[in-house]
Amino acid sequence: MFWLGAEFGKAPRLASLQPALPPAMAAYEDDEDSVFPIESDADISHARTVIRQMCGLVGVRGYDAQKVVTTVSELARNIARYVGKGEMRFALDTVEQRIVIVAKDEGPGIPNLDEILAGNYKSRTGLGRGLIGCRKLADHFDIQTSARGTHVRAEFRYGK
Amino acid sequence: MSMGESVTCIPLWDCLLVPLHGDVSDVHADALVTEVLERIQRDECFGVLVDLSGVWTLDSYLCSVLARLAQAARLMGAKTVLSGMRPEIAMTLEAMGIELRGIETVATLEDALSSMGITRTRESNKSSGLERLGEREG
Ligand SMILES: Nc1ncnc2c1ncn2[C@@H]1O[C@H](COP(=O)(O)OP(=O)(O)OP(=O)(O)O)[C@@H](O)[C@H]1O
Ligand SMILES: [Mg+2]
Repeated sequence: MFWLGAEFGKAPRLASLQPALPPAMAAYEDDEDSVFPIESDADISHARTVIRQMCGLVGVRGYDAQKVVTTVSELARNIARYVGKGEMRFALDTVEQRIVIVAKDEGPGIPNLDEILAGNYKSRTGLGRGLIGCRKLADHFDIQTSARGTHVRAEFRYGK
Repeated sequence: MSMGESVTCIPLWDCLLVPLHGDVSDVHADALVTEVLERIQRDECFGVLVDLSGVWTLDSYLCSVLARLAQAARLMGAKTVLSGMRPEIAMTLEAMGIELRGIETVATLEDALSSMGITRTRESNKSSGLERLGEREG
């Protein structure tokens, strides 16, 4: 499994790296380099751009790419808006052929998660479709939340 | 679309054409609402055509912003029509259960124009083959 390096997408000519995997992608899960800090509006945009390029790299396009990019967008925004700061990681599992998205923060957690995922939640700040929407889009969706923070993992299969 | 980039609003008779493209940041989306509403008032527009054909992704926030824009524009007497939403984006919104309630959505910019009462008429000039956009009367 390749974790995408944070330098990914900042390279001046990303297209030239194709089809070889950029060296930055060979980072490991516990490698600080593969963390994308999420705080500002620009960080959300950057996260979307990076994951979009990563999809392109493995030939994920159209609806399959939209599902992944939209999920990243929703999770990144939730961190920026409700916590202020957190981080995301993107991984490419070329063996299992899946794209893995991890979003992590040390915020206050989501006490009413069950209500939200049941679709009974009326958001004051948005449409309230972010998390439930991501769960629908992903092939595998897992969320752990407590007073110490929130950890979301979403997986998308590709190439099948 | 970077933060510093300004909102594109093209006056089209008494309508505003607003093409969105690339990555639309939250800051840009918010700026869009302010700009369009100011232009509706200043230029006395009665229609807002938001073309989405160049947009990479639409997520829950951008959808809520578009709904907010349409709602506010309506209070100012202007109708909003969205055009050019790519199929994969429509499929994503559908899967997420996001509805753009209260906003007219059409396939193409041409459809959006005709929804505003603007249609194309072909010059009947035999050989010229010229085409022009004409405003339908009444
Ligand atoms: N990382 C997080 N930390 C703390 N609270 C969160 C986090 N993510 C979401 N929430 C809470 O869960 C609620 C539901 O989030 P969700 O993304 O589903 O909808 P929303 O953000 O309210 O609206 P939308 O995403 O549709 O614009 C939020 O209103 C917020 O209160
Ligand atoms: Mg949200």
